[in-house]
Amino acid sequence: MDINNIPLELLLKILSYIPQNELYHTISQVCRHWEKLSILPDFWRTFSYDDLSQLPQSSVQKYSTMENRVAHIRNIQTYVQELSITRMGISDIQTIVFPDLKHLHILEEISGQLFMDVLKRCPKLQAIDVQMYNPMICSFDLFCGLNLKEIKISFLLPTSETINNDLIFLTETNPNLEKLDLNVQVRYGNVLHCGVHLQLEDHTIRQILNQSRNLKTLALRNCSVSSKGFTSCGINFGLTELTISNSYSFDDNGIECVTKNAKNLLVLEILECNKITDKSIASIAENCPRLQCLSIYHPHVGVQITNQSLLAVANACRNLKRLYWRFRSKNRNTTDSGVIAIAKSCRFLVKISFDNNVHIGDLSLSSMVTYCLFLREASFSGCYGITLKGIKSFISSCIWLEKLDCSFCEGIMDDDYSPVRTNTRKSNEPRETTDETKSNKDKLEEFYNRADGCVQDDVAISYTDPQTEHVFIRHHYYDQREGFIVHSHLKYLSLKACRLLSNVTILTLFELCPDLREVDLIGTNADIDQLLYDKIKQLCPFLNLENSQAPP
Amino acid sequence: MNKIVPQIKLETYEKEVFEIDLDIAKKFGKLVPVLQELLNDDKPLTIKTINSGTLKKIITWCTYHKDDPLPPEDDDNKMKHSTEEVSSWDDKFLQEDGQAALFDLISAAHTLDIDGLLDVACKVVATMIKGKAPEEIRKVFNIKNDFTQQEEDQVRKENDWCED
Repeated sequence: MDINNIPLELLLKILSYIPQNELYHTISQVCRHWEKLSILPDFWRTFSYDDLSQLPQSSVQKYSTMENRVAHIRNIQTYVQELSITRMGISDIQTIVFPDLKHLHILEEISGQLFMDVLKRCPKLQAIDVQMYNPMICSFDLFCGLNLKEIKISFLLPTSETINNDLIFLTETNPNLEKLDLNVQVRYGNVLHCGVHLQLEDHTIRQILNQSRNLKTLALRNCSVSSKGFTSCGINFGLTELTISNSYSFDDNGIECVTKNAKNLLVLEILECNKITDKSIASIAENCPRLQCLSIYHPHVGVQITNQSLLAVANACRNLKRLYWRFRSKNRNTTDSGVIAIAKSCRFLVKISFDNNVHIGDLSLSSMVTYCLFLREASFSGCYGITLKGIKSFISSCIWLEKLDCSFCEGIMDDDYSPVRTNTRKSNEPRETTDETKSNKDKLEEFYNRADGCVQDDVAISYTDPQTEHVFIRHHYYDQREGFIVHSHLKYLSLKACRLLSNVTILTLFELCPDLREVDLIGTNADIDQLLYDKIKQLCPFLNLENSQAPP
Repeated sequence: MNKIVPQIKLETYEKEVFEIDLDIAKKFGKLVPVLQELLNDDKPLTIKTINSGTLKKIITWCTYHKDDPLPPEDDDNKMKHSTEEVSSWDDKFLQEDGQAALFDLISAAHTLDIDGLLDVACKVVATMIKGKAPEEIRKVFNIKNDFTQQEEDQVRKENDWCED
């Protein structure tokens, strides 16, 4: 093995030990490969691995760490800065004082009395996160006047009528608030129902924004807000993160006003707001060039977000690290050219998701591979244009990729795909009428034609830019010794409901990712018997098939 | 009779099986939980991307550094590069088998997630690069110069301009 055969990230690691001036003057002159890399370690230096792969903390993790914490808490109580507690946990720590506690997470419904007991013992509290807040047993006044910086409340029940006034009072008495996160859920038994609305009136939003001048993060999940609340505010606000979900009356005007007034937005999530159109995205692109995370999840049929939006985002937001462009129902407006534009200008993308964009195909994959060297998570659920060929070259070329979701990609099928099998499938599960107008053979041809721009010979992937006709090639080298390939570090792969995939093809995919830990094979044609099991174990020694979602 | 130490079996590319004491395998970062599951298993864990010579070296390194304190799991520390010098034992050990073996070792250390080894090995390579002219670097690592003469002149001109 020589220096250009080791995985890219290792070469970058080596180069990160080289002084900066040498990178520019010497390293860039060694060869083309190094020339490209010499501009990267700067980036590498400032972002650690963990920084990039940071996920929103899930409450589940907090749960599991919590037990340990309570066990040790008596010894370290004076140092504890962050604590998660359940109802049981509260009785455990009833007599302990936490002089230094800054963050408190309450994971279960608790009564006002218990909550007050805890609050008394935490003089330095800065942030609370109350899940399953039940206004029937715990008064809202308890959160007021604590001078907190972060408040996160997840309502368990449809809330009281006075909630609007309560919230105004809350922000009035916590003037240094930096983060406000409201969510509403209803629980029947153990099942949580989202999408229940907390009706926030326009003047409430206005008051909240006016009273909290330090507010940086605002999340209104499942809260019904209208654009007017934001438009009538009219003053610049310093928001850097905004999440609005499930708000049917929030429309383009709202987005336009928010983006105009909060030009420093870094994270913007617009989820399940069905009135959002191209106009919104255009104003986002125009006003927020610093955006690092954009998440769009559009709930309905007849989406008015087209490729134009994607191109606008590509033109303006070059610092994007996460892009979620998801739709609940099939979206035919996004095409490969949009994704290529994104790939070309947003080279620091770390996580992407293009769920249910049915027209996205292999060209998108190969452009992502060519330009976005830092991709760690990708999701192409329900993108019918993606074929086995595309997926294979994506996996073998995108070496930092850890998580890939290709569920419901019906374009991924065995090479010896026969129409007979399709017929049985068709009779079992009728598909949408629009899809049935074309015969399967045509469709297959269409898939291959679409993949024309991407030529793949197992280890090299090339992609032709349709505008400049420039050909890009990314090489992955074979070692002289047979069987040694610079391999991918993919750890999670979902092939859920790729109905035309059978054993052999799945094995060829596994062959590409020896580092695989988890795989989802539900709804594929895979039939895992002892022989196959042994083979898989050989190819992917770390894969735990018992925990993986494989058909029995 | 010797005390029985729990051992883990690893099979290399050449199908040779190595038995590794668990306390040495503790260096294998994220893999430790996977390996511990295998303790009771008779079947070795096959790692196709590592050859026997490399694994032997890794075991030697891990044995030598067995008692090193674990690096503090501080986020700040992870962000920064440790500026510590490579010890002379490590330097000699890593370079004694030539370059190809060194890169095999780096790649294997990455697969097995041995942070300590990866760090020193990358530092050793970096010192091989530092302070050399492009031509020298190409020679040391046997890299083909794939720039055209024209491009090379261009790059040089740009850089000269930068230095002024």
